[in-house]
Amino acid sequence: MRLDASALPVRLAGPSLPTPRRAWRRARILVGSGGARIGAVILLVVAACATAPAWVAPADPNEQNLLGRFTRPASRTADGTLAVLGTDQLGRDILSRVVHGAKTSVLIGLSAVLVAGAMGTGLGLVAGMRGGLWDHAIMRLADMQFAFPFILLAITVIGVLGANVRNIILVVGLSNWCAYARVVRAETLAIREKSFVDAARALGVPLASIVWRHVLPNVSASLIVVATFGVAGAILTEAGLSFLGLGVPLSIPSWGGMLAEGRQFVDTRYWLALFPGAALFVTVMGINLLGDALRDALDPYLQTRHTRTSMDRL
Amino acid sequence: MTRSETTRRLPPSRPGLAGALALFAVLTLTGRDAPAQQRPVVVVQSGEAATLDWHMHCDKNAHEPDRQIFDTLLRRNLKTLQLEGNLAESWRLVNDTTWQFKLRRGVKFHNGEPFDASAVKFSIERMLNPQQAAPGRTSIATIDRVEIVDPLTVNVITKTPFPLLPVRMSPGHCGTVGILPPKYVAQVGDAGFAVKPVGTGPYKFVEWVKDERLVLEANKDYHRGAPAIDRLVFRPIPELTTRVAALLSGQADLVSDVPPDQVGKVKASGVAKIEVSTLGGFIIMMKITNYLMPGPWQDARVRKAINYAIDMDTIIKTVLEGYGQVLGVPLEKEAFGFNPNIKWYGYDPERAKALLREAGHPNGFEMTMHVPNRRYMNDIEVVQAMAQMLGKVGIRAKVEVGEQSVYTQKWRRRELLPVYMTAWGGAGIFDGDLLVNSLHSKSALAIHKNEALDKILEDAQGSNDPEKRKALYWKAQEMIYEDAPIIKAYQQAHIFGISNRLDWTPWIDNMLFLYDAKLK
Repeated sequence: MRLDASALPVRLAGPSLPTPRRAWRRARILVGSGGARIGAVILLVVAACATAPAWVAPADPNEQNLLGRFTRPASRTADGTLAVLGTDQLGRDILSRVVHGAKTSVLIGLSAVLVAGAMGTGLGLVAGMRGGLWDHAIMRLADMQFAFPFILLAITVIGVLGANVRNIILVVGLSNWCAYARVVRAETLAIREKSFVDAARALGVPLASIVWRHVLPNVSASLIVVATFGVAGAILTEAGLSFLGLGVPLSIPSWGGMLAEGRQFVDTRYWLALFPGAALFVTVMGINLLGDALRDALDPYLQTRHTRTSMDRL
Repeated sequence: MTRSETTRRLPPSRPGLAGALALFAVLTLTGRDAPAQQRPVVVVQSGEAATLDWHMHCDKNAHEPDRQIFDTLLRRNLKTLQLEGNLAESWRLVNDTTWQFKLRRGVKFHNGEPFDASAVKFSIERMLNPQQAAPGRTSIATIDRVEIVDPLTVNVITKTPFPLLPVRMSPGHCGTVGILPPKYVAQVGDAGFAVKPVGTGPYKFVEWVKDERLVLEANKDYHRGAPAIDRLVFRPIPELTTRVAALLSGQADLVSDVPPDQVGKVKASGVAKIEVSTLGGFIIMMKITNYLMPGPWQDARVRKAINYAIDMDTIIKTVLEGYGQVLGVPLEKEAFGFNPNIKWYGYDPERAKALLREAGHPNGFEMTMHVPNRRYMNDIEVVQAMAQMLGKVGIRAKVEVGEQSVYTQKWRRRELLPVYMTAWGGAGIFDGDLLVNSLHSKSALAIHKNEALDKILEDAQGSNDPEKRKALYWKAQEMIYEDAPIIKAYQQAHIFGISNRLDWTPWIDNMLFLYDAKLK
């Protein structure tokens, strides 16, 4: 089963470690994809809004103007300021709130994925490398987590700990680790049987180093793809929680919260719910487009196909 | 495996389908054969009653149908707002602790049981019995016992003077005595009565399909004459916009609590109209604690500053779209004992800042304001607007929204501190006694303590002398003004959507009484 170390080639570089040539090819596939380009543009705009909302937004998102409430999009409020996307039930500028809402979404989306990714990767590596009881314990825990209804968990945790940004990141993060754990474990199981890992082990490389130098880089491709879609999922989850009133406090604009507030006016003042909803939709679509392209670029099988078609054309 | 299971699933039962079709055909045919049959009037409610036993709820959704099924000894005159006889023809104070009621002759319960002094004695004593655990019991706990003088005369004896007794014998959604048939209750038991009530009211109970409909029909023997409407159906629809949609699509005839932003849509629809009742609605106030949580709010000057900082008129004009009025002291001006000399704090941010400086908070402070999630009209928006105005004078107010159940729980434990939104009223009391419920430190809603005020309110409760009570309530309102335990109270109007075929005018919230309703 295990290979004899003497039978191995002398160079022990992981065969899947990205060489400059391969990286270049991947980048070409990525840039060549129309979806990736659209996704990247959308995400650049969202990132700009999220990093410097005060610069992008025309007004303070929480500044009320009771006399100018329900101003239609592209018209002026009573005091003459132009409300590009209209104002809400308290006369707050919806464009500014959507821009600031991007910050909430991106912050929670990325942080939750970091939490989930770190936890899931760690547990997945342990399960995959250690196997046996560890593997069983961790994977059954993941199964339990998958079976447990998320909203119930969220209501309980938020109800006990209170609704704030940190707790929402924790809830969304800690309830999504299993997807990462499963992917990482599956990849690890395959990689740990590879000859270069055996070789490293035979040469006496410590386990931690093997994991860090040889296994982790090889699961990173799948991890990046899962994490990309994970961000989209986390943003939607945050919006869902805010919509249910379990999300961020009212003083922080969030797309889900805006949707919830706008819902009761949806048949008379459509713009309250339309714009945050559209922002949510476009952002998630952008992430998904980029995620699809990333998956194509990082998938070795798809990659060969791409190469082959270009060769055929030649 | 799963696939074969799916394919083995049975097709929809044929006989059932055919039966449904046949039933449908029969229904449509009979419908055509009987054109004289009136289409029932459908009342849409925000939720369903848990029980229809008048004594066992403090719930608007249960009171609305119960108000049609049951009757009370007295009732309020629609025009004068004074009490008048109903099941009792007259009443008088015999001595300081004895009220005598002369009953109407010849009234019968829906099941044929006669209405007499024993029914009155049974009803009052049932509600008074601690074992019954009626939620409104405390409102009548001053009653000691009921004595039957003759079949049409009862004496109600109270432990101490109880000036509010006649009010408790008139309709109100909590703490009032509805008259129940003693023999029927004994026969079906409390559980049976809760789902199949019998009263003396203008409509009789027909059927109750949980979560779907509650059907009542006209009581042709009603003591004021048969009502004009044959059948009433109460339907629960929790979602506000769906209720309005039901009205506009012709599925409902009467919808209460229409949100202000939907008013225009209803008016423009051409199938329904809007009626507004400004009297007797919820009196909503933000309470500020002075002893349960340390902080700047313990200083009366700070509480006054908070009042000066808030432009309630603008909030009502905009957030409530004008469907409300500022009261200040939580008492309607129609109420007995209302003090017209008190003008509550106006909107004056400069004065607010000066008061804050004087109290030693020139840079303001932080404060949490609790608000329920959609219990009152646009409640969250009202408090958010308040928070913004407080910010302008340096008070950094944080708005915390509580889910209904959590909010109620915390409210009972007096944990909504230092400021929270609550409401009282809407019970048709129209008496200074309302101040006890909202501001006596022992009341369930209170987070503020003022012993001198407590004493005055207790004195007023223990006297039958109207002049003395009035003087005490006037004094109480002066003290409330000086102490500022609340942020400007306001009263929300009640907005009803009524289909064009229904002829009915609302007058007091929580008193949806459809006896005088007609179809056009």
